[in-house]
Amino acid sequence: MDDRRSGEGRRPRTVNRRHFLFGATALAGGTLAAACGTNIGSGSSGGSSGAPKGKAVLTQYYHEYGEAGTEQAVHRYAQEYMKKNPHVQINIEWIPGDYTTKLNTALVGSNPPDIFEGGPSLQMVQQKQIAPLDDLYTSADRADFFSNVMEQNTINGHIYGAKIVTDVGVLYYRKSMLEHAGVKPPENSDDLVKAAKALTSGHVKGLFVGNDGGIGALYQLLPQSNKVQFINGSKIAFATQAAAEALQVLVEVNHENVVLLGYTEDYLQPDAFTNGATAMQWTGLWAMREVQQGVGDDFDVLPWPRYGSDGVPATFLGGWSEMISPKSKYLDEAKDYVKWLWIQNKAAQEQFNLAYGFHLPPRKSIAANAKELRSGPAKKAVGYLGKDAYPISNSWDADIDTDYSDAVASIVHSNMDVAQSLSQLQQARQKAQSELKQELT
Amino acid sequence: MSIAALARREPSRRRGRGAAVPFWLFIGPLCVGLLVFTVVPIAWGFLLSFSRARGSIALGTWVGLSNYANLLSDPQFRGALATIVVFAVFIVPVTFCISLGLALLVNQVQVGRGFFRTVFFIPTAVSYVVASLVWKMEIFSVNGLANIVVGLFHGQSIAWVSTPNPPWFWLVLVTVRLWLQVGLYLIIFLAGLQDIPQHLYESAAVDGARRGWRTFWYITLPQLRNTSVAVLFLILIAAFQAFDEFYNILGGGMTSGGNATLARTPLVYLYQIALGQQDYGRGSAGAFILTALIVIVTLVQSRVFGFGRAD
Repeated sequence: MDDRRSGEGRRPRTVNRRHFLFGATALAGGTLAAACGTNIGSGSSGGSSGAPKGKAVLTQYYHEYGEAGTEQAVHRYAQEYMKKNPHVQINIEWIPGDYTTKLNTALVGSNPPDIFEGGPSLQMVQQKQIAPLDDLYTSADRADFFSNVMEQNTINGHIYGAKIVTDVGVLYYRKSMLEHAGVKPPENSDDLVKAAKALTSGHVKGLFVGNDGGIGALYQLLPQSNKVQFINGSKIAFATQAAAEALQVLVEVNHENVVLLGYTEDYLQPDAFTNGATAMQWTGLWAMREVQQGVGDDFDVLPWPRYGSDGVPATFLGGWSEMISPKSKYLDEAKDYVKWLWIQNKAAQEQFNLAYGFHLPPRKSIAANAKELRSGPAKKAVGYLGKDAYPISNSWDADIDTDYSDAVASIVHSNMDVAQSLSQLQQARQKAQSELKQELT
Repeated sequence: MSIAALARREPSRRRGRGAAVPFWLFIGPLCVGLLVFTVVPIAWGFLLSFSRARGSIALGTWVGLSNYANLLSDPQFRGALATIVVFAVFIVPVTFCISLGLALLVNQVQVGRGFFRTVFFIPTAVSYVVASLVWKMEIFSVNGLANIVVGLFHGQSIAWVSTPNPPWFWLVLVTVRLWLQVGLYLIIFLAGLQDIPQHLYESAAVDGARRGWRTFWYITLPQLRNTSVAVLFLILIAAFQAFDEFYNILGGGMTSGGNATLARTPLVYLYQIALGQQDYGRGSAGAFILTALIVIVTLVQSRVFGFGRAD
């Protein structure tokens, strides 16, 4: 029976001031109580607060992986671990959107997540936001991870992360389009610029390196392809003739209008490549499955070509590492879980890297034996991880990155020549050097 | 005081005490919320602006005015301030004129005024993020509506967001803001227009003035003075606080970071400093510099336009 019927034949009930006040107060009180209540289910937002008696409750942050099945997978791993270790409860937070901002905000609070993804940095070590994880690795483990991956996670001689997935960038090219234009796969930067020009025709552009013309994708990679180091000890080292020359590649392809701009998706997705809007695209290995679905066998991959004749091929060393907050009330339990999942559990590592998306397992033994990585372009990419991927120094922080990337943006937007570019880099170095000095003191 | 006067006051005192309880029950939560979520953070932020607070929001490492000095000598921050001043100089009069013009047109409509009012107001309810993405990905992308129109005139496809010369990105940023904001100011103007006594126009008509430019200039605009100044304040403050469309159209996150430098507003830069670089001391100092700038410009504006002055 609804309210209207139950009131039939009676005097309509009126809400007087006292009733209204009482109701409003009760509602406000209830809302406040609900807001203050702890949630120890899978959605709790802080660290190890609100633990059921006798249980170590761990909060684990993941950024939202784009591939279907990944969220279910991490829940499954946690369930499996909790089954084996009933004294541990793992609450997973799957965070879409701007993960880094949410993580950074949580890390400065008093109740940060116990376990979280990211990349370790010197600043995080100095702020005591991440705990050393040396004791999680045996010497055999250390030898089995790719050396550059271990180097990336090592700060001041201590390991601060356990790599979950490794990503490298690759230059995808359409074999048929290159053949049609009579262009060979580029081996160096000159070839690349020539190829981009030759492949640009009508609505099809030769190269897609991002909707900003490649500033975000290539600002570090281009100097790396000309053997430029970004930080050398306590010195900022990017303001060199070699860096200024390498960045001319970016200036030229933008000035010549042979790069695709304003595409709906950015370079992290392969849509421009699979839809035929570009003949070559720089993106991650993660896109390989979509590329295969889109263009079949009509593609191959390369690292970013070396600069001139003396440079080296280059790619980025990306991916995500698991880290642990030293503020965790259950530090040992958090370490045990991370060790079990991302160091010892090779089946989970292979599955998480290759069953849903396409990433490179950070352990050499897994990468060598995985069926998907034994042939074709994927096998080549494993080789790039082994020899062409360079980690940037852990002292490279967001401040310095802004200084440098702003300088590169000015160089490209203002179409600067080598001398002007060098001057721009030198100005950026001045500011970056004082920031590095602050960071190191 | 006479007995009669005391007798008259007593019930009113009781009434006062009786009313105080519900007053505070209603106002109390609001005051507590305001204190906890607004006053304390502002005060804390102010103190942080004098602290070295990297990767931490704890107070204690006092650095005096060095965060302020650092930012004011930072070419990137100064560039962001210049960007927002130029943006405000352009967007404030444009938004004002379009809102007022549309309000005048809607006010003239005799049939379906409510329909037009609703149509113009609806965009105000749309999220800035959603509108920015629609502008970027559907209207101003390489295959978007704008390039389809350009193609109809046999023009070359334009990279609207990424081209520094000519700076087409301003067209994208300005149009999305106008679409989002004009409706709100239109409604405010419409309310102001409907408040103008009709007899003023009737008297003017008797004196021989026809409806049109003269009545607008000598009756409508002066009668809208307070409304206009309030609208100008709102547009100006909103302009200085610009963030969403700049961040979402030009980038500032993981991809296409290079476009962010084309037009970086102070809030975008401060967001990078505070939440990207975790330098909460400098971030807070920047927020107070921006606040000071808004206050100064608003005071100048109110002095120039005589806000609150008797008619």
